[in-house]
Amino acid sequence: MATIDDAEIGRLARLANIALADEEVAPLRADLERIVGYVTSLSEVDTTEVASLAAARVATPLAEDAPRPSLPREAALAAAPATTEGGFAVPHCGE
Amino acid sequence: MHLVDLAERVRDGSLSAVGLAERALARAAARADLGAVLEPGRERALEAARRVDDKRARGERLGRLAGVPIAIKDALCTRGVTTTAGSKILEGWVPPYDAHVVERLEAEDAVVCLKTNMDELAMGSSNENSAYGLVKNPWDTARAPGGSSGGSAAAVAARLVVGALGSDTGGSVRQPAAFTGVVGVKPTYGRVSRFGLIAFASSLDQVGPMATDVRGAARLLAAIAGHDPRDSTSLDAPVDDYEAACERPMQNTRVGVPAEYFGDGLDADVRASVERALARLVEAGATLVPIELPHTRHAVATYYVVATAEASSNLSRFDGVRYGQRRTRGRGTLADMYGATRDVGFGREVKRRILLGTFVLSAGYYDAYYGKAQAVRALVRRDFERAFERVDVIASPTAPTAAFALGEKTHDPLAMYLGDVYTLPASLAGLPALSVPVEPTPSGLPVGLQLVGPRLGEPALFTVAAACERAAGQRDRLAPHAEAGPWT
Repeated sequence: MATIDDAEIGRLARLANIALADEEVAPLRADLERIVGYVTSLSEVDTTEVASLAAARVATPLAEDAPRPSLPREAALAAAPATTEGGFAVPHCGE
Repeated sequence: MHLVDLAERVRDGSLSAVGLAERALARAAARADLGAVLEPGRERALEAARRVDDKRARGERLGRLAGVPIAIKDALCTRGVTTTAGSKILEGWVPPYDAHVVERLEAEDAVVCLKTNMDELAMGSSNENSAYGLVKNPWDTARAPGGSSGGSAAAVAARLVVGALGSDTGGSVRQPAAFTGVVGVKPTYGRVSRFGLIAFASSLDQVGPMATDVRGAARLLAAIAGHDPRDSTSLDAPVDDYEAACERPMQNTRVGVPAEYFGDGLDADVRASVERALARLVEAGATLVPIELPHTRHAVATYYVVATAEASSNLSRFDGVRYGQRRTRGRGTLADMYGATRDVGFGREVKRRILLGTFVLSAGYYDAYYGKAQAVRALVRRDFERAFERVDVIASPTAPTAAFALGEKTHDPLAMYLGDVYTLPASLAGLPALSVPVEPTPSGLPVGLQLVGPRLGEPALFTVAAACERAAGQRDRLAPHAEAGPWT
């Protein structure tokens, strides 16, 4: 079973792009420790028959690959926090 | 009056759509203390109502929802009306388009008004996770209305409206319906388009109706169901006549009763109420068949792996670039902006679920958690397939307790999750399910009976639910905090 410690919470927060405040880490660790402990019970379930069940499922149909009208540019940009030259503006991403 | 009565009165001209919309808006304002409504959407509602009245004045035939005010969960996009899904991260967002179901409601001449409160991004079972304040249960304002569609449920129970839409990922229509004494339906996965529904867990999310009675819910579902090419999971299957199903006799209907739903953890008063409802179904001609759904006990763990994994992916769209809030910290780089926006914008439950979903999908854990949960999900589905070889519908309590007190479970997320144990299996299996009020507890709190059907088996659910409704006599019972005045 996985160990949920502060370092693991930090790793998950980085992967999830959430800059947690220091005081958020301990309560989230405690919550996740209990929840992960609980969901680990799934390891007890015998799922050896499942491959055949999964294969029998109906696949999601593919959408036709064809151009369709979309939102006008102005409507798409209207709610953006920052725009520039007809596009979304973001801060610099270099180090 | 219930939904069908109001629509027929608008059709025959004895009520006006504008009058009904104004009444719903006034009721919502009078009961602002319940916290059920985030945004009234007044201008849009009155404009739509005027269009309906003008249409009638021109002698045109009105749709099935003529002039009926319908509240909708704030996870559904409404062009020109603020939509936040109960989250700070979308504070002030005004969508540039309507959800498919909003288009369908208006095509049937409904008046969309009242965007209802909800647990943030549909994550919660008590409506205490909204960034804009909790919702109170109209039956007892010290109790939760359930969640995550708690605002829609409370709006219907308080008679601000007679019909509403919610969304149900793991029980978010059915459980609040049970807690507030209204009818709530989670359709078959794919029966209703998810276009314009702010996504939580895409393999589970489904929009569903809530109403004061079974026939109203049937009419609402008929209006919103059907194929939509904008949702690739939308089913291209004919929509049945759900209202006709409400009138059908239920003689010889085989009702499966799963032992796993009546074990430890089921409140004695809820059990007694559900058992009386089952006895009444027998008196009405049904046959009870004991069945087994052996993987039920793994449903909570399965759901909270699958749903959080999907949420961690879906919610990556909230990054401060295209809509919603933007914050930054540190050196102000793109990564700093993402991190700060998501830290400030998301509440604790949403962060908890994103981190859990990130964990179960991360390298080294994927097979043990996400892969395993998908396999167990297939076994949950197979349990139902086997049961439906012997029965027409499956009946159980909707929730193990009646409405719990506000604050009772907020410090124990796992206890909150475990309360979803009866609604999660049908969600995992993609099956239709509804909650219909049966006899209340001795203290007067509503109790819901859950009915689950096979894929696209909604008509049988409506037939049995209508029989339950007739037998239980709860259809016209009003909550102490309901608006009791006439609609005229």
